[in-house]
Amino acid sequence: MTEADLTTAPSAGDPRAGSDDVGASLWRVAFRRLRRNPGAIAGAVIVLAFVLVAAFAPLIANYDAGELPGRADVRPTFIPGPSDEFPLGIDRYGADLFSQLVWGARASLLVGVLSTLVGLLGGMLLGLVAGAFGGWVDALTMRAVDLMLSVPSLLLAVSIAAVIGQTSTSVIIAIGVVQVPIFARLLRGSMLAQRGQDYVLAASSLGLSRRTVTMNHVLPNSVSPVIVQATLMLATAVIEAAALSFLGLGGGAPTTAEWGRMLTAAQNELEVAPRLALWPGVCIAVTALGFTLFGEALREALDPRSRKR
Amino acid sequence: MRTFLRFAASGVAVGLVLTGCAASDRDGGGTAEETSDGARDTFIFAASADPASLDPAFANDGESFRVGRQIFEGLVGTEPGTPDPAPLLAESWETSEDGLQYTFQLKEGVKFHDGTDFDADAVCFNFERWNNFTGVLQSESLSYYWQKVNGGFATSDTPSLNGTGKYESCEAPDATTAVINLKSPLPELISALSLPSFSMQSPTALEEYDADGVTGEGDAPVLPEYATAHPTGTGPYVFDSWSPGEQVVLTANEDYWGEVGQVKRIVFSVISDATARRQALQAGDIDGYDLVGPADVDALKEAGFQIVNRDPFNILYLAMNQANPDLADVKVRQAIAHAINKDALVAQTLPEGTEVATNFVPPSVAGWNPDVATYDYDPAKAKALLAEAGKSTLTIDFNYPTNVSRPYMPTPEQVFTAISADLEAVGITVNPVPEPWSPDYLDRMQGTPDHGIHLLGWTGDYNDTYNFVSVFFGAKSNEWGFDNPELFQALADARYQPSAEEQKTAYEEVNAQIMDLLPGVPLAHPVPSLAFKPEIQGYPASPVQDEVYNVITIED
Amino acid sequence: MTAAGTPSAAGAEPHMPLLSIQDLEVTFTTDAGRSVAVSGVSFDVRAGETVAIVGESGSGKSTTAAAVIGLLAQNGSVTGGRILFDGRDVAAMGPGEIARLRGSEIGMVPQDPMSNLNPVRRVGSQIAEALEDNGVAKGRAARARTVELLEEAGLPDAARRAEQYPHEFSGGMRQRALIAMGLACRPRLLIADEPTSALDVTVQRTILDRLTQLTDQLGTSVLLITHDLGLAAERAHRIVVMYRGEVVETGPAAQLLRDPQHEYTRRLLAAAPSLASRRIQLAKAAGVDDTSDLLAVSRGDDDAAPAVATGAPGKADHIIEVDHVTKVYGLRGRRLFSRSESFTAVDDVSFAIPRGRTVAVVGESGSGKSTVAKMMLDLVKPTSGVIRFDGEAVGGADRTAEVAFRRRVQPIFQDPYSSLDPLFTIGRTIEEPLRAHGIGSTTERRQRVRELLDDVALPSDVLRRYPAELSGGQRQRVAIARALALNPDLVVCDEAVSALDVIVQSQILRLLADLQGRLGLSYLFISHDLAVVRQVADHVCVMERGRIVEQGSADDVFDDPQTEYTRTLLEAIPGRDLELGLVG
Repeated sequence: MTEADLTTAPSAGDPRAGSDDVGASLWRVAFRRLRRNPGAIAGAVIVLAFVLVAAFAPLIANYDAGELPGRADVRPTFIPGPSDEFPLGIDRYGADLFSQLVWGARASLLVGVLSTLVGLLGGMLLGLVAGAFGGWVDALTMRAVDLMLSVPSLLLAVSIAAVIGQTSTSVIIAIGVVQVPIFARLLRGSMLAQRGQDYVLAASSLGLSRRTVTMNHVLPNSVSPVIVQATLMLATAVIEAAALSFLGLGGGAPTTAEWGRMLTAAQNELEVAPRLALWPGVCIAVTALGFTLFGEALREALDPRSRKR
Repeated sequence: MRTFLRFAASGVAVGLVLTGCAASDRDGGGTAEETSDGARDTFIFAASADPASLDPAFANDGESFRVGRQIFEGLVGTEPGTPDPAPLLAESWETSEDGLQYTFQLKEGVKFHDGTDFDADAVCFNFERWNNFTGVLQSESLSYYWQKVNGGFATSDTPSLNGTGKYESCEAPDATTAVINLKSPLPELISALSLPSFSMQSPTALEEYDADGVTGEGDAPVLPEYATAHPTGTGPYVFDSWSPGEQVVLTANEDYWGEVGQVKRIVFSVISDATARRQALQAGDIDGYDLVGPADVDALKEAGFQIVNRDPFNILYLAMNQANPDLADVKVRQAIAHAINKDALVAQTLPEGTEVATNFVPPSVAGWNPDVATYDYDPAKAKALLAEAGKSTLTIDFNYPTNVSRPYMPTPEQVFTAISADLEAVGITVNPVPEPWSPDYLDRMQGTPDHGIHLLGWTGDYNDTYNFVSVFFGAKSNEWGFDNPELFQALADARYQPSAEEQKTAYEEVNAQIMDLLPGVPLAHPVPSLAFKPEIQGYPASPVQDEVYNVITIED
Repeated sequence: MTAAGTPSAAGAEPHMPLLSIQDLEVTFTTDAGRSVAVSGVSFDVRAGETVAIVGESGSGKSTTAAAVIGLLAQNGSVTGGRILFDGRDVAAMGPGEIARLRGSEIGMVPQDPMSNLNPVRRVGSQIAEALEDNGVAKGRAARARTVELLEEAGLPDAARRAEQYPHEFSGGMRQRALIAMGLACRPRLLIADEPTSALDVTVQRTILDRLTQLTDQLGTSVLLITHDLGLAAERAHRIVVMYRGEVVETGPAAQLLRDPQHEYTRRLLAAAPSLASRRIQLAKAAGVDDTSDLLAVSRGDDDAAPAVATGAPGKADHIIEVDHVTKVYGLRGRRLFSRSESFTAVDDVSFAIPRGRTVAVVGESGSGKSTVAKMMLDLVKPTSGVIRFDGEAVGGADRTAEVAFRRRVQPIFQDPYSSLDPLFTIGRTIEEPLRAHGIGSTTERRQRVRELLDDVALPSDVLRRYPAELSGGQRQRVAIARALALNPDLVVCDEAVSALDVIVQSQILRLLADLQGRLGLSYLFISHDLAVVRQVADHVCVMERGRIVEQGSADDVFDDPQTEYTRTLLEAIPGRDLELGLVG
């Protein structure tokens, strides 16, 4: 038994034993774990499908957004159902339901991604300030965050949208603002946990300025739970955008292709054509599910506990 | 082990206690309790909003009138099911030859709800009250109809309203004779007196509860106690209670001079969402509601409910604001008119039985002109006209209301979408501007010049062209944005023609003139419908909504 | 109780062993696939006998013990061999049968007393629960028996203590409670898994003494799991040495010590600090000048560096002087508006570190030694007193002075798993100090990093790797390399080897000694383990509750302790009575 033997190999019972982790950073290991997780794959497939549909909407949809090809066939008490020309039938205004759903994916993706970005950036800024400085800065920032959290999210979103004005931009901002306190808290907590670690102490004793220590060491190690949360928040954002449309905020014409709006309009037609409510609802639910599955799997994969020892 | 059992037992006990508490609070909100057994005598009707005021002198909205018609009566009523005047509290009347004096023979033995006698003095009290409104009471949001019909007040800070009214005085030679003197002829007076705003109210109650004590501003008046809690009339129902946002309750007037009827109690349940109203009917929580959505008609019929139609006495139009320079060009307006496919609009979005409109008045109104200029559906012509006007790529704001359904416009979004698509088809770019009906949309259309083309309409109050058209084209207004003194004068003149025949001709000419000027596109006369439970019989559907519930019978 | 005593067999079959493990194989299933944790393990435990399983982390000793009592983790299972307890195969039993076995036949004293007692239940009721579940006693009888058992385990004032909660107990008391619980139903076999590793040094011996006494009295067989060969040799009749899931050697304790057969056993013997300490002791007693176990540089050196610095200015060459330093922390008061209480972590401490020497500060938990280390690194400011580095006071507000200071004093921390940034490659970690202080060009820095790797005996392919891929010992080497990058004068080792396995520990200690010799480094060595300190220190300061109770040269302190406390600490080192061969 050579000296090298006794020091280099991981010991039996070590979860790393048997895996090929050469040169593997946190993210690469996480990726490998994700590959093996059926939930992650299912979620990733759904998310990918969603993004592709949104990106290639012009190629997939049969008609333009808001186009009303079937208008002439609509009657107050009769809306034509699925046919060769319209795979899912048409809606109250005469638009092709299938095409509207496809364009709606684009709207939802945009709103979801942008609002989560707003929340992420705002939240990370607040969290960084609180987590880096500590003391009264931390206390002040966290009380502001508590204030934001104490208002029910839907109420806050509605109020913001009502004040800024009812356009899709205000919807994005409203949902984003609601997400800010969640990210802030998460990042701050994560940073506090990392600040107590020895490597941070070691970095300080190297003579690095506090700013360098925070930005180079504490922040990068605190970011993974935030990333996971962002994925999960995307799902929430899509649903909340639909909810805000449902409540009538968000401006635009009644034929705007947005899932939430389509759901709103469909509630008047439940007697005549329930499929008008079914399909947008299914789209919202499946998309949210996809993001949630992927986010949960990502959380498991990034769990630092399973990397230790 | 023992600990576990202990916990389980206490858990079960707590659970049982909690289920007991939870069982009670199950009834749905809003609707009142039913009476127990026997023949039902409560009638529950869904209103779409609270009444604005229980004092009809200050009301001009449908929900206030709906409630007001049960409590109050005027000198003149309507022939059932028609917009035509008929005797009510005045049994007969005579007009002097010069049209300046009206003598009313009043019904005897009628009392107000508070016991005060209804007599000629009471009549004069009411007229004098209206004429002597001052200050904030003179704003359009309060005494709308007195202004429109009479034209002014005894005194006013606004010069156009100062002493310019038709009304001169009222005399009460004896208890059952009332004489109204006018400064100048007003042929429509009799018809106008059928409006709920001109109901007879108890002088005692008016004084006791400070009926004129309105505070606040014209756009946000604060009503006095009379208008919120003590409306006192002569009608078959007495005011009982009003929970704002929930319901208004009326009980039968046992001393009513006319038929007391089976319905002893009315509950107006406030349900602002149209779908919720339908669901309430389907669930059995209400007996009926107004403004049935066209899409629901078939489903309700299949489920066994009754659909009762009113004869259409309304107009749905697309107004074009000429304050907008693009729309000031008549060619542009004509292009828009040609671009719209009215037949398709009616077929696809409006209730069965709706007719396309050519005039701004429905066919049953005297003055309706079959020979006015019509602008048939012709997209090619529309494009040509736009090109001529140099506006081939036109962008217009298209305002429409949300969260509302009106008798003349049950589904605004659908009308908007259909017209919008038509306009886009001829190259006009539409910029949608939706706003909630009240207060935003109305305030904007009627209070500011800041809008493009918009959807609106009108249900007639009584059978008179002036009642329809003067609202729109009687004077310069923010809604239409144009100033055409000739038209205004023609309308004013037609109004004061001495005989009905001459009036009819004059109005026909005015209608023709309007359609040449084309300030807007009249679209349709939608058929408003109500829905009821099968046991509700005898609902007195009226084109002007003169519907009093003492004639309703409820089968078992 | 020495290894020479014979096992007392109370009424057991003298020929058939109580526990017989035959060719045991245990496999774990993880994300990464199946891995065999234990394979081909065979040994016996007779009635009344104490057998120790010795090995480092990952050797499979705890896994084997868990398999015996049927408490393997969810993803582990016995995939081969048999575990015969009294003739019945535990591995083949159903969960119900094993549950009956537990407590009444096989007892367990787990490792960490902090987390093995239910914090929301009274201690007495937890023990009573064990009695009731195994049908030994119920109700009042159980409660009375509980008090008896606690007394038996050496807990003073047992009746009152039984009504208290675990957080009101000290660590030693909790372990006694666990022992009482383990022996409550008088099992025939007791598994003690590192029963004292988490305890303070002074308490360890007492606990073990009590345990041994009880098991002898009751005739219980004991399966003792430990990483300390000295402790095993002292307490057990026979020793089983395990390495990487396999048994490498078994035999009677005395024989193993005198004549180890396997290479690994020999290494273990050589590396175990307690044994090394014993050897030094023996060598001194025999007057032999054996330096093989001593890593202190100044062994036998005439370069007289005075042990204590105070009061001798000018003569001594001290790199650090600690002058009456005190650190007081303000804690929040107990009640809402009471004044904040103060906690004195370090109380009027004075010592000095001569250039090129190692000064060790020894103490148990709560002695204040870590606080001293932090003050040395200027991570915490003293409340009063001054620390002088090379004549200048430490801790001024001047940023440049602070940076300069930091270059000359570097730390090595205890936990190798958290002292390296998990997102930095090794190369980046070692390079960081150089880059932060702007030393050299990129090429020069890369060269320097390679040099450092050589110094700490790590292969250069480690540069690309991340900390998660390295073992604990390798990580600590990286930490050393990082500490050395700036050519510091003083290295503060805060329990730098405490978390490492024995063999690795000795390697690191050798490395540190080697570096000191070559580079002339001075060390402040913080530790709780006197046995380790004996090997490395030139001067020792013993701290108790914030004060230095004794200090002097290593010889003085170890051979002729002045205070009671120091004596207790020395006596606590396991293996003090062992007969060892003089050549390791």
